[in-house]
Amino acid sequence: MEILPADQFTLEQLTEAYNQTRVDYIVPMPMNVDTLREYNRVYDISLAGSCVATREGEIIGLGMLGLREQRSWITRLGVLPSGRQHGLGRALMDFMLTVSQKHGVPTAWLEVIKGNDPAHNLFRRCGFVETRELLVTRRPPTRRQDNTLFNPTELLHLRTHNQDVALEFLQQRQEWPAWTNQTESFANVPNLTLIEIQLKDGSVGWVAYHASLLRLTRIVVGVLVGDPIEVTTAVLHTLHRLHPTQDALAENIPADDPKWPGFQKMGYFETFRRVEMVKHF
Amino acid sequence: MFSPENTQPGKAVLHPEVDQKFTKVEIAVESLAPFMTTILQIEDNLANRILTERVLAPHGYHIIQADTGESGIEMAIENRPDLILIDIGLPDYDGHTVLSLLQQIPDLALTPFVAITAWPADKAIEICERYGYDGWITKPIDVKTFPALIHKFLQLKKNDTSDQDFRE
Repeated sequence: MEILPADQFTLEQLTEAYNQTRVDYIVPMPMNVDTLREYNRVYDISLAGSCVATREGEIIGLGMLGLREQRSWITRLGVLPSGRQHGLGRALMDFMLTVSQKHGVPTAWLEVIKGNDPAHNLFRRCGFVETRELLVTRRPPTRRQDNTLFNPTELLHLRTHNQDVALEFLQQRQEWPAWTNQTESFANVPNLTLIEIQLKDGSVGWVAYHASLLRLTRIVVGVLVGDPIEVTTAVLHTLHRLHPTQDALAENIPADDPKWPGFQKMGYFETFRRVEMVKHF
Repeated sequence: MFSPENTQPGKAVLHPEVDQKFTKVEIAVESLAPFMTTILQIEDNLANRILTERVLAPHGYHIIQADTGESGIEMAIENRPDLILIDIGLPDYDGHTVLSLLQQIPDLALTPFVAITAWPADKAIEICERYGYDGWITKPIDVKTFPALIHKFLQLKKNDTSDQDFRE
């Protein structure tokens, strides 16, 4: 068995291998070459720091490493079913942790789907500890807007901002977002939009998001003034009034986020959750 | 005299000469329905697509398949299938997003949408209810019960098919 840097392989090979390692996964998240390329670009994945395990020339496992200032991120770790229980996961982790240390980052981060006990235990053995739980949530489009949740006549101001302003708002967040929601990730997403609202009672809030024809993604809510639940409800009501036909995905919301009940009022529900973990070098 | 006008609605009657030669057999038009029933499967995994084709085709269903969400949407609009099977995990747009769009297309208002999922039952039920799937089937597919399940799902919206054409 060999552990090799992932930049020695094509995206096609990596995509095929990744999908094979996840064929029996709890949550199916297949990728194609385009989505893997986009994933690597948005999340600052280093293919030289990522790794592939091969046996007799065949890929049997891989892991990907994101690198940013002062931190790294381990993601998409997977081993083919036939290659499990042979220490392969640990070997892939050791490779990426070594790369992280060589880059001088003080911390490495990852998320593991809650319930994936073999992976969770592996990460604990590698020295990772839990920090919090993160929700992956969805909201199907609804035919009618429910104005009993929020009355649009309570809006005093509504402003729509472009990417640059959106990044400024995101940069000023007080909370520590998960890797996928960090400002560096959003900076790599084209055509980001931010809606800022002010209500008659003085509340102020915003939502950043990316809209495509079929769905809304990269949804992040900020509450500047006012009750977190009420302002979140108001800002999401406004968002979905502007985009009534699109499916929505809001990923990695901290489970204890005071804004989460506002999401729920607007029809978001949890599909699964992740356990965020960190290792201090 | 043999006359098509004498046939009962929904039934085909053999020509008298043929009727005399063979045991009287009534061929109900409804029994021809499986040969005209089109099922669209949106599934990225090749092995699963092959399995579905092999299990359902002998029952007379016309199976059409797409391996991405985007191509599945195109095929659904173009073909107006009688049933759409949607794998939740697709590489471009997942099954929920695909369903959300297809539900907004008037031509597909009577089409049952069935999720194919590996989610645990309790989570599958919640997701299906939230998104409005007409049902779900767990992976891996049980080849023994799969055809009967498909038949059941096909009946779901048949009550309002009075204006539906028989496809060629």
